[in-house]
Amino acid sequence: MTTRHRVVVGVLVIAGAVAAVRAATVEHSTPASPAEQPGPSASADSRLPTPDSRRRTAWLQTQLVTAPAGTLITVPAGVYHGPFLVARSLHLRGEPGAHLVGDGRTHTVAVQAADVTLEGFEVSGSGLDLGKDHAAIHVTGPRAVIAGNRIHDALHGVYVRQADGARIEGNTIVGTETTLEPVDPMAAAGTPSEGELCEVSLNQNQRGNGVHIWNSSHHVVARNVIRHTRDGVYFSFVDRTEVRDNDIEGVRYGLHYMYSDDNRFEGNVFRDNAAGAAIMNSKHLVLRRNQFLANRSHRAYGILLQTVDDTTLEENRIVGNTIGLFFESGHGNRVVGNTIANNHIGIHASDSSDGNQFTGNNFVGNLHTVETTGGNLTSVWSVDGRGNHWSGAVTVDLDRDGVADLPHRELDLFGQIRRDLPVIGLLAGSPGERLLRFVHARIALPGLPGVTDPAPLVHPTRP
Amino acid sequence: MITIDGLTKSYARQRVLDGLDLEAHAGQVTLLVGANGTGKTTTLRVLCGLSAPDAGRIAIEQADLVTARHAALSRLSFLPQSPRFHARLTAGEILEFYARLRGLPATRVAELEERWDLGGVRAQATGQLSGGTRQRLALAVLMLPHAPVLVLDEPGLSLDPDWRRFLHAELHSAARRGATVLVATHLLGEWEGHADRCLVLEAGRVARELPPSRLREAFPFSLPQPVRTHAV
Amino acid sequence: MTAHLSTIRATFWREVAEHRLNRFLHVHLALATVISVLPLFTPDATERSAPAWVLQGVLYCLSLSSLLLGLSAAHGDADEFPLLFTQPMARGAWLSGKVMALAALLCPASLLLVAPTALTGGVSGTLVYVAAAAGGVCLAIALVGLAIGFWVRDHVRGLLLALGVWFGLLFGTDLVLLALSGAPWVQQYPTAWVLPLMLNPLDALRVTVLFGLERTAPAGIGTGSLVGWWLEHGGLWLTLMLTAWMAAGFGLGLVGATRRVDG
Repeated sequence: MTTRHRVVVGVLVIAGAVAAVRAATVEHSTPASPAEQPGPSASADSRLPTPDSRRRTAWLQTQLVTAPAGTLITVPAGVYHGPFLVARSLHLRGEPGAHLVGDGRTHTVAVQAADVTLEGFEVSGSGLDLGKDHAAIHVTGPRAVIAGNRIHDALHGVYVRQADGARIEGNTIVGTETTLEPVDPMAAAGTPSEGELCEVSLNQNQRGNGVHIWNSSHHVVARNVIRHTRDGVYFSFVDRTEVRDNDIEGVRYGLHYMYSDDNRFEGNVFRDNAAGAAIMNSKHLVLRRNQFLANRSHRAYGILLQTVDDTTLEENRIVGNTIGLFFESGHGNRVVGNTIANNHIGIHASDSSDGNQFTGNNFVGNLHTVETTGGNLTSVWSVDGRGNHWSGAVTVDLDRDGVADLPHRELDLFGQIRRDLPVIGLLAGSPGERLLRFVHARIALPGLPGVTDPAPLVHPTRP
Repeated sequence: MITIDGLTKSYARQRVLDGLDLEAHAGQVTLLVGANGTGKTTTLRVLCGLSAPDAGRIAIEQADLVTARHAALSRLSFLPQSPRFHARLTAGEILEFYARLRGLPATRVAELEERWDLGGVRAQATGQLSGGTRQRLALAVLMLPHAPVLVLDEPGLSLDPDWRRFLHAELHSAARRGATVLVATHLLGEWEGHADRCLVLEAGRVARELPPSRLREAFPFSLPQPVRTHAV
Repeated sequence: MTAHLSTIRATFWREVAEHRLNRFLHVHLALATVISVLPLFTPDATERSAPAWVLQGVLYCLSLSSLLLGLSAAHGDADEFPLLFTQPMARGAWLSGKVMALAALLCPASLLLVAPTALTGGVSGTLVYVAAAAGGVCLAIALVGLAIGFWVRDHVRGLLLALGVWFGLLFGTDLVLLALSGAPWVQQYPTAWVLPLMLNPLDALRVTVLFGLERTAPAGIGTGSLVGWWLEHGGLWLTLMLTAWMAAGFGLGLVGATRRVDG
């Protein structure tokens, strides 16, 4: 591009921007005339700017720096090349087809101001540097509303950093599974052309998280659909937050969560994730009516609770996982009315956990219902005369009160041997193991670890 | 023709056949007689390939039983003592099976059914057949292939006199057509006048040959006298 | 060759006729029918529950009925051996005909296991896989029964031995391995401990269906070279192992049928 060309383009951009600013009102800003309005025509490759997209982008960038706080900016369909910095309290509403594309070097949209709303956009093209926490939408301003966006080809989807009160609702976030890299990194000088790039798949650890929140509180994360990111929802030092009705599938940890207290999870679905859901070093949580389904890799959990205290798990469905519910060093937790079914191991309860209450849960069709670490488990398996329902248990209920008259002994036949001979897990659910379990349920075989439910329920409970 | 040279067979260190030599010629009905335990059945089982000999050579129509087993067996048809069949199969299925095995046409099955009066029990399971009918079925199986060598172990058992006579006639007829017929039996009376040769087996070898008219001399020993009891 | 083919053909049809009234076959088919409709009682998960039902059905019922079917196939013919084995036929061809007939009876029964699920929910690769695995295991076990029947001709003793073998395959391997699992030398050589599981058709079927088809992840089992390979290639291993069992059953049956025909 010659100097003369640059001048012409610069004049056009400035003229467009001035016209746009004139047309914008304080309450509602849109491009004024069809000539100025960025058209719906996006280039075939949205990474590459076109004259149209440059004009649109210039308009939007001008809006971001000039529109007064509180302005609703409706952004028409079309590709807008960022990165974008929102340093004023604006309400950005993307019309269908409005696509914000990053430059692949930093966040696509950085929200720094308080009370920013970003809704209805397609957002892509952030940098992929995990060390710099690149994100499609990076929020550092309080009370941001990120709603109804479709995010893809980015590192993190929505990243909230030390900003309270964010509402992240109804977004669809699809992780980056492949990236374009130069065929010959040494030879490619400057920006390589399309022919010099090849598609390289990113393994899960190289990807970012769907929603990543750090060191803040009072958020709402709701109704988001998250696929193929590293972790679905990642919390670290996040308190008093509500996470509900999200649908997370095909990620590493559906929920990766630590050092975060007083939070509530309700109605979420975590399915087919490599490692399941992990909650660590936290307390005073409520997990209610969530579904933890089919998390089935070698070390996947429906829910892993490590050093989690005073937490309530209620009416969750934990089905078809490698380990349904993993308890380690948990104290004073209440596990009530959950369905723990068809897992390889229903519940792993280590003897470092104590004072936990299990009542009204349905243990159904697990290959190996209870795994212990061999020591004495001080948890309580019935509360107020009501224990849990165990499929396959011998239940004699002469007084027909729904509670069996005899205690149920759930055997953990493998006990400590599992540590020295892990392959013994192949015998879980085998006829030989079931035979011994059958005998043990009727005649307590001495010296075998397991748990005893003093008041097993005859019928499963219904949430 | 059947040729047996120096046949030896032992069971659990007990020698049952001890260098047995035997020849049965085409066109003749040859009887192999002897008391219980002299080795008649063992001879026939080894001859038919059911049991391997310890030593000796067997040839059926010049085909060596060991080196040309299939050729030898394809020239032989055998009737075991007290033959039994799969109890759930019908008489017709049994005949059809053995006919298929020998590559014989269905008309041959019908022919044998008629000849041995098996049409009425064709659809009946062999487990429900009387001993005599089962024996006739086995004889029909024996006669199916027109084998040049027929070997029979106590064929007259369970048959009523009429069918025994019919059997004798059938065997004679086969011999007249050039077949070699070897029959092991200890029921000497019924074979008088129906055999061409009689070989007497004693202690695991052919001890002598008797003329067919003197079959009763095959067992010269006398049975022990019944014990008499006296009232005290 | 033609002689062998006609032997195989004749024996095949005879064997099919023999089993027409065989109560073990009737029981086998009845059990297969019952097992096949059980997934329909879980309408929201018919296809997902079918493999589990088939697995339990094969482990606890159809393996036994197959074994007894093979045993009865041997015992039924044993009385007729003096007549059968003086026919001009190769015993290998005769046994091949029997085995093919058993396969022709047991394989449709295995298809029956998944037929209602396939009719209601469509044919899927999983259903085909499960049916093939079930059919293979049933046939292998039937050949074991056949071999037992040829070696132990007495019906009662044969039945007792067959039941003993079934208990051994179903429970014995697991219990022995459980009993040995605490021994230090076993823990030092876990591969040696796993081998009996891999070689037992019922355990191999269970592990393949649970950890392969149903994708139950083997929690904490680790990925040692042999176990990892097994879990990764469960179908291939099952095929190879069942083929070996069938070959062994065939060979043992052949030797068993040949020995002591003369009583």
